[in-house]
Amino acid sequence: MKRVVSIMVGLWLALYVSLANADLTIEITKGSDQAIPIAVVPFATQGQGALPEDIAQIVSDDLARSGQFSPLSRGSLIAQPNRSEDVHYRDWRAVDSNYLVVGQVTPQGDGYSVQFELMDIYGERRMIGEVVNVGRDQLRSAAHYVSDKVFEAITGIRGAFSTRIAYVTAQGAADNRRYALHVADADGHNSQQILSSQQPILSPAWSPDGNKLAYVSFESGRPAIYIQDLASSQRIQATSFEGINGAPAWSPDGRQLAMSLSKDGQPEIYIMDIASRSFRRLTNNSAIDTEPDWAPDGQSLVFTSDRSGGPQLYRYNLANGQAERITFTGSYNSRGRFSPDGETLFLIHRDDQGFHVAKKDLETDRMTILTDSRWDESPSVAPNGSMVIFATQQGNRGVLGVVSADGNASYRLPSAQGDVREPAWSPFMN
Amino acid sequence: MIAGEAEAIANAKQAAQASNGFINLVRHAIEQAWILPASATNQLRAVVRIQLLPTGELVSARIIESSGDSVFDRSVLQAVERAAPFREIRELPLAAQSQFREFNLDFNPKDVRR
Amino acid sequence: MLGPFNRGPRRKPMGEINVVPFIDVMLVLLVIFMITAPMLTQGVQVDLPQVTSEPIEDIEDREPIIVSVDKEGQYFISLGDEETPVSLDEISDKIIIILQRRPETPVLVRGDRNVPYGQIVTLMSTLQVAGVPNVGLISEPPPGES
Repeated sequence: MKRVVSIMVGLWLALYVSLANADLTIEITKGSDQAIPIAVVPFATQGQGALPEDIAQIVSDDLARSGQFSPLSRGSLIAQPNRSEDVHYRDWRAVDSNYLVVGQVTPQGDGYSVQFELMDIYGERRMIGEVVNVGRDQLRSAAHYVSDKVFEAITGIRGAFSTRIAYVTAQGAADNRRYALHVADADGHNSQQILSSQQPILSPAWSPDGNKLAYVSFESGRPAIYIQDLASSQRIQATSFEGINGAPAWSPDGRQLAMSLSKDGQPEIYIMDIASRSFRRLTNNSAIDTEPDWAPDGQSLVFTSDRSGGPQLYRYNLANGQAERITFTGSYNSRGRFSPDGETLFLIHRDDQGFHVAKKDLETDRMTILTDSRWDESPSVAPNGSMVIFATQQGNRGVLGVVSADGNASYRLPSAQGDVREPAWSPFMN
Repeated sequence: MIAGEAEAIANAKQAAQASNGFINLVRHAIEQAWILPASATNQLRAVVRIQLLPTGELVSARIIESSGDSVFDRSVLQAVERAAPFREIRELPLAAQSQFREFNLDFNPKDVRR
Repeated sequence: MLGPFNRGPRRKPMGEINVVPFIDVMLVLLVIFMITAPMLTQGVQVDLPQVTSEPIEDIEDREPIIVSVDKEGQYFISLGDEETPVSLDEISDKIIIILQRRPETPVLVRGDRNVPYGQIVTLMSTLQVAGVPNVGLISEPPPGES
């Protein structure tokens, strides 16, 4: 009995104390927008000889370019573990790293086996441990794969480091200019030329499965739209009407192409069914209508029109055939491109400083300018919506820039001599 | 008698000031350490219960009310671990120290316009 | 059996202290000590000098790095596998890296009382060259005090 009473008293006391303490709550309503510190330790190599690619460096660079991470420099790596078993979390807290990536590469058959692990330093736990096998010349792809997995595990957003970009280069003086269409990794490496011509090439557009490119080429002396299969290099001529054949845009199901044609007078928006080669005209007025882009749900298109005097964006509803103006800020808004969730439009907006990449929230109508460069054109959105690639001017040259969707991070893609224009970001490839 | 009362009131005032100072310090340290996830919205809210040693070291931090978003929950736990220890607890009046040995942190990024 | 409100014969006054609640409290304390003791002790056996001094109060809000010297004169650092002896160079390299990333990290020296004075001085000057503004020395209060 005495014991029961004492336990009751003890419980009551404990309850009282915890109730008394439960009152105190500190509210935290602000965070910092600094980039996440992460350490990527050089991967160990089993077997002899150095690897042709430095995987840890590629992963660090990928993560840094996203603007969401600030990888530790090599000199700040306080230890060199290669497996989670060798990691002492306290070491990495001492250098203020929230995450740690370690791994090793083992030659296997005609390629490599790449093993990597991601650790949460403060949570003291392994978040990922995975092995990928790649061919002899695919170490860069393996590194981008590691970046994708790390990015997704930490941010909850699918990584887009393994995607590709298409762009057009122009070299040589005016009377001897050469144009070429290239496809490269998203970081600009591994570029391959897929078409070369003495006449301009414009507006490459990826099919939703990532296997084909539609583009405009002037190689026959006037603009025509082609669809080229990337694996086989085989291509078909989709249109070659009198006048403008421009700005192809794939429907989300990959069966139709929206485009701008002037075969019936002024440039108007048409939809072509690729299999049957039948056309459907969407707009009909005396203004220029061009640069269509499909909403991700396939129910509407956005396009640029100067029917109100200057270029502005309009949204065409496929169900009721109505086009409605959606940009009212400033005198110049063009080249609208939907974010993958369909909630934001990226576009080119002109203010008194010049032409910038901007975004417009379709729900709140708020417009935000993302870049401070002055001659931006052709924005194209990464398939995870986190970055936008665009063409701009550096000195007298055309170069490619990338800006994060929040405008906080940006970088230029390295390029050889000549002008680089008309970038297009691929969909997810796997 | 009256002098004693005045002293008691003065002490209580001092204790309240010290407590407020400590609360501000904890809030500031955690706001500095909290890296808001890119996907965070002002709709997300998580409550963390933390326990401190008398020296200010963190004994435990656990989510007692989840935001339902694992990325957000991980970010707030990291913020607490990154901001710890809170050694200033030793400078509080003894009565206040026991109050701050265990308390809640309510994370809700109200200022985020998403 | 009589209920609590029934007036029964008066009980005799209790002649002993009820120790059960006391035992409960002690058990809780014991558990707390068992949990916290491993967090407070270091892996390396060091016989600290005993000095009467005030504890350092103005330590920064950071986990300190502790460099230990055992009675054989070997160095240890509270990083990685802290029970493996390290060289002065390694200590210096790691401290430089840590101070680059977190300049306000406190560094403490925990030297065995039997280590020659000169060796502690060497260690402290190494730490100073590595950029530590003030090195704290860990000692123990003499027995009988505290």
